[in-house]
Amino acid sequence: MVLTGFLVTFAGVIAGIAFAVWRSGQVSLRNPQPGSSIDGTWRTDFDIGSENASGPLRARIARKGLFALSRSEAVYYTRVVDDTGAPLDSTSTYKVTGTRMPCDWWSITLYNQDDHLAANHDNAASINLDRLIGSPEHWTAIVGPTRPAEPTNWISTAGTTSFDLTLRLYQPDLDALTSGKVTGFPTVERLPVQTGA
Amino acid sequence: MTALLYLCLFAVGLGAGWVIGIQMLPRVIMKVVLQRVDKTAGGPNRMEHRGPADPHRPTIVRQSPDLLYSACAFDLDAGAVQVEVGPTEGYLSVAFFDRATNNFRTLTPKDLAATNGPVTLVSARHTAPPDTGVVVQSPTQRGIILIRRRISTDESLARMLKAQTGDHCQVIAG
Repeated sequence: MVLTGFLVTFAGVIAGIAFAVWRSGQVSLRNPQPGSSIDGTWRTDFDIGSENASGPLRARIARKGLFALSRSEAVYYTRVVDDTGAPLDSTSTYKVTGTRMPCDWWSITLYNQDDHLAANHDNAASINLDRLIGSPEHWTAIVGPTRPAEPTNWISTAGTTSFDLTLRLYQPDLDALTSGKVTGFPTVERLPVQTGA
Repeated sequence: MTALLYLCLFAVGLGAGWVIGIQMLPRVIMKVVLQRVDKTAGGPNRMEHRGPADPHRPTIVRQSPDLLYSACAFDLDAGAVQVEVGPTEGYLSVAFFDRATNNFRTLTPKDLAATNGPVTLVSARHTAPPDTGVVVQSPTQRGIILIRRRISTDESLARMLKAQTGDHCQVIAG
């Protein structure tokens, strides 16, 4: 009976470790801090990289965002859905529309579901403020599998199965972000499927 | 009754396993990364100059294609470590991570400009040598120093790669 009890406890420990590893790999960020969710789409946790980070958050960052900086240096928002709440889909094309954001510099990067850059040769893994085509006050970008015919901001989804978008804000205006009233974050609109003639 | 006892034991094990897993996961991941950086840099306390992110040869999760990274896997058992940062235009950060992946300090160009001296990383056992510029104390003996530079444009990449060659880390005291 003692041996069985030991084995049952040991099995519980193994199951607990396995659950911790699995759970830390989940994308959800549900910490309800002011400003941690923009329109319910772009999500972050301001405790990333800070001493206040909980054990589960540290484990999650170790798996999904190793070497993330603290919020005074950079804030990382991730979104996995379009403006209607539908999951981002590799076969669809999206129009991203944005304005000036509360930071010195920003970038938007697409990551495959394996948390790595999309394995393609398009050299279009991200857009950023310095490379932006158009005004930083009002800009658009295409996220899709095919390079747009006209020169425009483009993030390629080629080589992905499913993906998410990560918005990095460097030297962020934390007062604005944590006020919960910040606006102007990029919208992500799924474009209608083009049908041939 | 016996089944209830086993269920309780399983639940206790499950809770303990959860805590162990959550606490150990960052350390296990960091250990793997330290071994990898040690290998590519030729040992601890040497700077690895990484090229731009290559989507076909990923080295780390969620690497930014807009940044150029230098990495040093420090080992303070060998002594205090001095960090040199190549002169850089534009954005730069020097971030320090402990053995559990916590970002315990980040230096910006403003911090580096505030003193002309080098950056010295010490443990609680060390005292910083005289004439030291910025002194950073690490909570753990091992960890990673990560230098990030912004690749603003394709034209700036060559300048950033050149600046990166000025990044060094080395042991300065036993």
